[in-house]
Amino acid sequence: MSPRRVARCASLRKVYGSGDTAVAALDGVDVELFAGEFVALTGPSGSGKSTLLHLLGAMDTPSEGLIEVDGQSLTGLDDEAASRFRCERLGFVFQFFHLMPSLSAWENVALPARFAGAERAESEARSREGLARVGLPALAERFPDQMSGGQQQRVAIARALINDPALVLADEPTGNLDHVAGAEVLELLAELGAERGSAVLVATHDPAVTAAATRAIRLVDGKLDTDDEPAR
Amino acid sequence: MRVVLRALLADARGHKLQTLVTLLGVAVGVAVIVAIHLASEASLEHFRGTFDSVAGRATHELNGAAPLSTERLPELLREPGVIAAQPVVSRLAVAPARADRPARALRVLGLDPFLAAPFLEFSSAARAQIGSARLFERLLLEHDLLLAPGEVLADLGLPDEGGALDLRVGSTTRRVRLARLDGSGLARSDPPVLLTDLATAQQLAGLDTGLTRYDLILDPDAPPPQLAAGERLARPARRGERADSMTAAFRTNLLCLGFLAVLVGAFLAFNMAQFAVTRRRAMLGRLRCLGCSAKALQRAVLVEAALLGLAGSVFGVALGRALAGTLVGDVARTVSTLYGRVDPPGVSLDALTATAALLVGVGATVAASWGPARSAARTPPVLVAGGVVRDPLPHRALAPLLCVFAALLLCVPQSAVVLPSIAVLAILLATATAMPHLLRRLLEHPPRQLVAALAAGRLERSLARTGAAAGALAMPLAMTVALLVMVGSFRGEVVAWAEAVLGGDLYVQPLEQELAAESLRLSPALLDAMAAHPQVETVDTLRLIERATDSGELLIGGSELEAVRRRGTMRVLQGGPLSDVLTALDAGAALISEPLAQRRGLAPGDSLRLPGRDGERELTVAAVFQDFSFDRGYVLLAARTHIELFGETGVRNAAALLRPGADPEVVRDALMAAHPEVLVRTVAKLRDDVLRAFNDTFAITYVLQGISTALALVGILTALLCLHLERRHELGVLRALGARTRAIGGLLLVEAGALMFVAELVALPVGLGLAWILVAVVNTRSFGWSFPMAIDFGAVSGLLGMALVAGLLAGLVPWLLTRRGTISQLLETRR
Ligand SMILES: Nc1ncnc2c1ncn2[C@@H]1O[C@H](COP(=O)(O)OP(=O)(O)OP(=O)(O)O)[C@@H](O)[C@H]1O
Ligand SMILES: [Mg+2]
Repeated sequence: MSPRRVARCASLRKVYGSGDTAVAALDGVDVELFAGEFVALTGPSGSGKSTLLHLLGAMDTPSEGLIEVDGQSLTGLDDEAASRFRCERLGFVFQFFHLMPSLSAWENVALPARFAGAERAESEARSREGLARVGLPALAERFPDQMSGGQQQRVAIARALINDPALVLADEPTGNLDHVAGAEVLELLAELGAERGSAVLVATHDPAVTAAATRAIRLVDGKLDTDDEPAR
Repeated sequence: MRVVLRALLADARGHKLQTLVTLLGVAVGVAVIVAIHLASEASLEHFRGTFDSVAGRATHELNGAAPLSTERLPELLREPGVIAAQPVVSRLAVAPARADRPARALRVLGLDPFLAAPFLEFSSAARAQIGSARLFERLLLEHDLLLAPGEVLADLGLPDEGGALDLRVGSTTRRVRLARLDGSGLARSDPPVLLTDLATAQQLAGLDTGLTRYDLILDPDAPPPQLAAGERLARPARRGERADSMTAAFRTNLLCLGFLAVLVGAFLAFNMAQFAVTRRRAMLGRLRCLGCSAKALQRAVLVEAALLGLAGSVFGVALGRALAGTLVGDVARTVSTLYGRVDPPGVSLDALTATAALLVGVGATVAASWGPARSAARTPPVLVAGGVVRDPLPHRALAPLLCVFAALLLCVPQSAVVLPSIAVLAILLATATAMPHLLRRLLEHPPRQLVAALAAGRLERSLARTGAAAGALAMPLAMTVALLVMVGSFRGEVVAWAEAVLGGDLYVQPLEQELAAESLRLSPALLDAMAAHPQVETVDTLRLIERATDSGELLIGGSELEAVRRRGTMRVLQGGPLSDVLTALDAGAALISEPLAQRRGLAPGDSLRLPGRDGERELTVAAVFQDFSFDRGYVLLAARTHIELFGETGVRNAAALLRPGADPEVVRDALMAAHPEVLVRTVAKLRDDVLRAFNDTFAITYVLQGISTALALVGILTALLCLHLERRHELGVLRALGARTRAIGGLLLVEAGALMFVAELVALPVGLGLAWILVAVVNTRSFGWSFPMAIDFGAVSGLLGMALVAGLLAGLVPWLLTRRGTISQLLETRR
C-alpha cells in the first residue's frame, strides 16, 4: 500500500514584482509529499525555499500553478477557509521561533487550538500534553524571554503539532540554534511527525537535517534541481 | 560617526512608513504650538481692533469743562509723559426722520488725519482703501465730507459715494455728503460714528476752533502731564471697559493655553522620536557589534534625531500656519453671518514664533532620543531574535511627586498666572508618567476571551511604549476638555449674570461722552418724563462717581435698586439672603463687587472707609455681589446714602420698569423722540449687546477647540500607527497560526479601544482639574471673578465619544494595511 499523498504542487510559479524588476522566486516546481515523510528542502540562498513553504502554507498566493494539501486546493480560498486550513491542517515552525512574547509557553502552544475553536480548558490540557511530549512540562508557565532558544523552538514545535496537522512546514528551524539544541529539535520534528503521520518539510542549510531526512529536495534558482531519496 | 549616521538614514529611508509616521507625529506636535499661538494672536489683535477702533489706542482723554484750544497741543507734546496726542471733536448728531426710516442718532468724530495714525486701529483693508481712494486728502479738501461704513450708509438709505444727508447738531441742521469706508470698526460703536477731519467737525458742531478733547497715549512710568485749570484727565470712555476686562481675562487664559500647547506638542514630538529610536534598538546593537563605539553611536542617533526633528518641525510650522488660517477665517465667517460683517483677522507667522516652534520641535526630538540612544549604546548588543527588551517605566513615585509639586505651586496666592501655569505643566507631566502604571493596573486581570486576552498581553508586554502612547492620547484630550469646560463656565456665568443683572425693561444713558465723566448726567426733566410715562411703573437710577480711597480707586454707585427689590435681580455671593442685604443697605451699609472683595480681602461685616463730602465715613460691608462689568473696585450704596455722602452728583443712567403688558419698544421710541440726547435701549437689545461682545471675544475658543480636537485625533492616529508598525510581525505569526483577519481586526480594535479608554479615563479628571486651575485659580487671582465650574457633560462626552470613535478608526488603519499584504510579507517585517 503506497502512503497517502499529503501535498502536491504542479507547475508552481511565483513572481515577485513586475516588469524589469520581476523576480521569479519559483519557476515551474512540481513536488509531492507523502504522509510520514521527513523531507529536507535545500538549495542556495535565494533559491526559493521560503517562498515554497509560504505557498504551501497558504500564506501567499502563487502566480501560476496548482497547490493541493490534504486533498484541498489552495487556490481561491477565502479568508475563512484559508484560516481554517492553516490552523487545522498545517503546522509552521519558524527560524526565529515567533512565540507571542505576551503569552506563557502553554498559552502559546494552545493558540492554534483556540483558533480552531477548541474550548479553553480542553486546549490547555492538550497544550500541556504537547509540552510534556517535547520534554518541557516544567516550563509551561514560563514566558518566551525566560527560555533558551532551543526551549523556545521546542515550544514552537509543540504549537505546530497541537492540531495534528497533515503537513508541517519548518523554515530553517535549527538556523538559530547551536548543534545540540538543533539536533534535539530535529529529532523531535522527525519523531512527532512520524508518530502523527504528518508530512514534514524542512527548509534548511544544515547538513544534519539533510542527513536525518528520509528524502531531500534541492531548489536552484526557483527550479527543482534534484528530488531523491537519500541513501540510507 | 558619518558611517553610522549614513546607516541610520538609510534605514530611515528603507522604512518609509515608519519614518513618515514619526515625521507626522513631530509635525503635529509643532503644529499644535504654532496653530494655537497664531490663532490666539490673531484673535487678540482682531478683538483689540473691534473694541478700540473708536477709543483707539488712547490710554487717556484730556477733557475740559469749556471747549479746549488747539493751542494746547504743542504744550502737551512737550510733556515727557506724552507719547502721542491728537485733538478730537466729537459731537452727537441726528439724521432727522424720513419717509423710509425713523430718525437716527449718529456721532460725528473729527480727527486730524496727520496726528491720528498712532491712535487708529483700522484693519489693513481699511488702510488700503484710505490710501488708494485718497480719502484723507479728500477729507481735508472737501469741507462737507464724512466717512461711514457700508452698513451705516445702507441703514441711512444712502449710496456708497456722494450721498447727501441732513445732519442736525444741536439746533442747527446742515447738509453733508458721505463716502464709504469699511473696516474701521466704526459701525460697531453705538451710535455709529461718522469720521471726518477737524475743520468739518468743528464747523458742524459750531465750535469754531475749539475741541471737545485730546486723546493721549501716556507713558505709564512717566509723571502725568501738567493740567491747566478746568482740565481733567480720564480714562477713555467707559463703554469699552467691560470688553477690556473680558479681553484681558481672555488673554490670560490664552496665555495658559499656550503653555499647555507647547507641552502637549513637545510631548507628541517626544513620543514619536522615542519610538523611532526604540524601533531600531536591534539595529543599533548590530552596529555596536560591528565595532562602532558607544559614543559615536549616541552622537549619530542624536544628529539623526535633530535632522528628523527639523524636517518634522518645518512641516509642522507650515501645517500649523495653514490650520490656524483656515479655522480663523471660518470662525470670522460664522461670526459675520450671525452678527454682521467682521473682517477676518489676518493670521501672520512671525519669525520669532517660527523659530521658537522649530526649537521646541528639534529639542523635543533630540531629548526623546537621548535616553534610548544612551541605553542602546550602553547595553551589550542583545540578540535580535527571541526576547523583547523591556524599557524601564518612569519611576512610580514621579507622578505623585509632580502632583504634590503642582499643589504646592498652587498654594502660593501671590502668583496669578506663572506658578499656576507651571503647576499645569507638572500635572500634565504627571499624567504622562503615571500612564504606564495605570495601564498595568488595568491589565492586572486579563480577560478570558481569546482576542481580548491577546490584546491585553500585547499591551502589557510593551508597557513603556503603550503607556507613552496612552499619554500622548490623554494629553491633548485633557487640554481640550479643560478648554471646553473653562469656556463653558465663563460663558455660562456671563450669560447668567447678564440675564440677572438686567432686571429693568428699558435702559437710559446719556449719549454725550465728550464731557468729563462726572458731568455725564441725565436731566431731571428726562427722569420726570420717564416716571410720568403711563406705561412706566417705576424708575431706577444710578449715580456713579470715582474716588481714590485707601482701598484703591473705587467706583461708587448709588441706586434705589428697584429692579433688585421687585425682581430679585442681584447675585449675592456672600452676606445672606437678599432681603436682609437690602435692609442693611437701606440702613446705610455698602455692597461691594467680588473683584473688590477678592483684592482687598473684604468680607461682609468688615468696614470700608469712603471719602465723603464732609470727611471720611466708615461703612459696613453688607454683602458681596457678582459683577463682571468692572474689574476695578465697585461699591454700591443706597441712593439716599450716596447723596448723603457725596451730595447730588447727578444720575448717570437709569432703568425703567414697565407695567405688565407694556411694549418696551413703544416706550423707547417715545422717550428717544422727546430726548435725542439720550440712548434708550430695551433689555433685549442690551442683553444682545453683552452676548455679542462676549461671543466675539470667545469665538476664537472654537478655533482653539477645533485645533486641539483635530490635532488630538491626528495624534491618536500616529501614536497607534507607530505602536502597530513596531509589532506587526506578530500579526503575521497569528495569521500563520490560523487567526482569521476578523480576529486580527478585533485584536487591533480592542487594543486601540483599551488605550483610548485609559487615556479618556485619565483625560477627563485631568482636564477638569486643569479647567479648575484656569477658572478658580487663574481667573480669580487675575480678575477677582470666581464662578463655579459649569461642566457641560453633553459637550464633554461628545468630545470623548468622538475621540473614542476616532481612536477605534485609527486602530482599524493598521488592519487595513495588513489586509493589503500577504502573511509572508507581515512575517518579513520582523527584520
Ligand atoms: N517579498 C519579496 N519581494 C520581492 N522579492 C522577493 C520577496 N521575497 C523573496 N523574494 C525573492 O525571491 C527569491 C527567493 O526568495 P526566498 O526567500 O524564497 O529564498 P530562500 O531560498 O528562502 O533563501 P534563504 O535560504 O536565504 O532563506 C529571492 O531572489 C528573493 O530576493
Ligand atoms: Mg528562506
